[in-house]
Amino acid sequence: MWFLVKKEILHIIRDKGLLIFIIYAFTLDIILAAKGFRLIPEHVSIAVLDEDNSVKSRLLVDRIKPPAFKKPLFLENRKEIDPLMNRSDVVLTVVIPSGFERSLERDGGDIQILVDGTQSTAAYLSSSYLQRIVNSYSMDLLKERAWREGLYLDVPLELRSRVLFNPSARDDLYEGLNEFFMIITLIGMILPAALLIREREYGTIEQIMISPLSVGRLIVVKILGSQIFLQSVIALSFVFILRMWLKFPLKTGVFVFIFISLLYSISTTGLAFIIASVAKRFSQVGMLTIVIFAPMLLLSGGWVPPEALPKWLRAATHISPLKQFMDLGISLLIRGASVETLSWGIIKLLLIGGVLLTTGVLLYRRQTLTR
Amino acid sequence: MMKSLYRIKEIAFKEVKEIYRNRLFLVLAFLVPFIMFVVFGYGITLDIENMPFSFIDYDHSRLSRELVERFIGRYFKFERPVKDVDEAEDLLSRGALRAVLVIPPDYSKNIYKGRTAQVQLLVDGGFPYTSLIIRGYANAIVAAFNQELLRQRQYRYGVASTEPPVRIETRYLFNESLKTSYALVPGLIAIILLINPAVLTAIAIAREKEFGTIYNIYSTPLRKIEFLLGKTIPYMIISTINFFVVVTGVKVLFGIPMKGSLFVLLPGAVLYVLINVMIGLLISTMTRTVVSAQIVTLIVTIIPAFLYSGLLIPVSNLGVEGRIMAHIYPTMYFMRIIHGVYLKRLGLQALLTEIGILLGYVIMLFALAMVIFKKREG
Repeated sequence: MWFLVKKEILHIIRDKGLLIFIIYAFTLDIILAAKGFRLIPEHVSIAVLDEDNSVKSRLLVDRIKPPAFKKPLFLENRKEIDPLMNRSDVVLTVVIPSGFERSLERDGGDIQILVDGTQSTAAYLSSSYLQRIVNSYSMDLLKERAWREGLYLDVPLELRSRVLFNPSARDDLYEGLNEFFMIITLIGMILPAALLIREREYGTIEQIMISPLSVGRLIVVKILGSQIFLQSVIALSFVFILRMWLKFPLKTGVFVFIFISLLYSISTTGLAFIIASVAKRFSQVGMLTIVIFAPMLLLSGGWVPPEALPKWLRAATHISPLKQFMDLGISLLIRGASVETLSWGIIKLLLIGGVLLTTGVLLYRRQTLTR
Repeated sequence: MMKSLYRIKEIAFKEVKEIYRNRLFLVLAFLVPFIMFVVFGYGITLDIENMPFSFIDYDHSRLSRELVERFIGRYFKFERPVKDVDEAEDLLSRGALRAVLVIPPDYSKNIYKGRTAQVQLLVDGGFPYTSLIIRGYANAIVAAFNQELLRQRQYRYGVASTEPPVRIETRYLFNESLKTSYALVPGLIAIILLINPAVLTAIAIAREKEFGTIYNIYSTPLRKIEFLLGKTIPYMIISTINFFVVVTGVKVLFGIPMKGSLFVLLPGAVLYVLINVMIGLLISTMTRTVVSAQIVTLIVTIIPAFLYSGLLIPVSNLGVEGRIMAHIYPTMYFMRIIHGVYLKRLGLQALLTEIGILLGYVIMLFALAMVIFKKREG
């Protein structure tokens, strides 16, 4: 039987297009996602129109600085604002009207923040950050004024946030791992499905049907072939890309991860079998994969935190294998939990996988035998 | 000329028949974009609310209860009582809680004495974006509470004025209520019209190569340009129908109004679809099997669609490499048209540059396909 497994692996390796892109997906793609995908806004582009041009206004503008904001783009007059915001060249524009400093001393100065609402995520976070900067400036002015009146005024309450598990809130770590899990899922479905469909598309399945190889064995061979290849690629990517290239401080070794990844592959292989029994041709495999992959992604909690989902969708996250896999992966790799404490998650993953693989194999058997 | 048109028509008909006979493919051609739209549309909200929250109150005072009450509301939902920090960390590590507020024993005493009291917020860092939002909310809550405490103190000691000297007026342009869905859901049109036309078209030539029917084409009097045009027409039509379906979905399913006019959106949309059909075609001429054509297409479209389109991350915030990529991919230009029409009520005049750039892409990609596709092997 081993030479049959070898045949499957050879199939994968000989298909240059497929091979190149599996390699791309497990290397460059993850690096790109880790380096490029920043939901947390940094160096936000901002424009400032300082009509007052006074000491106090300049002191305020001085507080707008990297890493949260880029060096502000200074505007000369109000006419420049509209075209700038229409082109979405900056996310925020701060307007300090003339007379700002004078009114500070009297009943308070007004400043205006214009936010580009089309760039919603960055707009929200960076405008609230800017408000914080202005508020703390305001507080300092207040303290100074109390000081002059001979009073000592201090902030009554201070909030110290301690972020656990990923203290520097590295989103390259998170986005990189997220991408890694998604690629494992995508390739984990397409690869076995491609191996199964290939025989049918080329008609070589007829040869297999008349050979002494049973359908059960055929299935085992296909699974072994794709898994041996896939898990080795995952392990290589884990060690060379995540650990060595991206220098992720991962809290679990490669073997533990491959163990979890193998458990997960029960689910993806099951889905691959379902895809392969519904699809009759290659052209349908890719599209069916999207149909299955898109909802999995949504329910995974990787893109959208489960709390942000509507209630009925949140309930559905429990049956998403990617969600279980991601939770396990993040707990192991970022939070550094031990495998034993995650037994409940592992059981859930196994249950989902069991159901999917059984369904998939039964469907595929029926499909193949009734031909 | 007439002959040429006739041949293009024949190739297009052949392709239509091919699609029509591949029933599941036909169904999926319309179903996939719709599913993607619904799933991402409902899912891609980044308004984070109801985060599971708890607190540890060592102070047991009126002031500490007041603070906790200010936390619990729309953003933080009280999940369950926690007795100490160990338990809190355990629950955070399992994802059962996202944030825990710890109020130390000397909290109210410090406030009454006019010193700065410190409270701690333990935050799950598993999702960096969420953890940042949590800290943002918490800081806003504490800032509001501080104002209130200062006002009380002023009342007691008769300090001149504790009104904040700087008042901020924040205006959200184009999206007054700052609903993320108003920007994200129409933005999905660009994502869906990038991925789907490309995936559909990618198989068009790869299929002929894989089955060897391409040799029939090689030996006909058909010219390259006729063959390529004929191949793109059916996918163009399917994708244009899908465009209208998605635009209707934005209005009907999500109730998001289009401030500008559909007629301003349309030219950009048709060009954009054409570009992505071309991308699919180009990949199709370069790969040999249907599977690799599809995988290549998925990989070159999905990630850049989200990464470099300006949908989730403003292009002006990307790094240098990212900004270069964003300008190379056509999605950013179409995204500007979409946001221009949906949110900014821009007219055709204001979007001419973007439309021109898209037209340039069409010409360039078609020329590229002409060069790469050869009517012979080797």
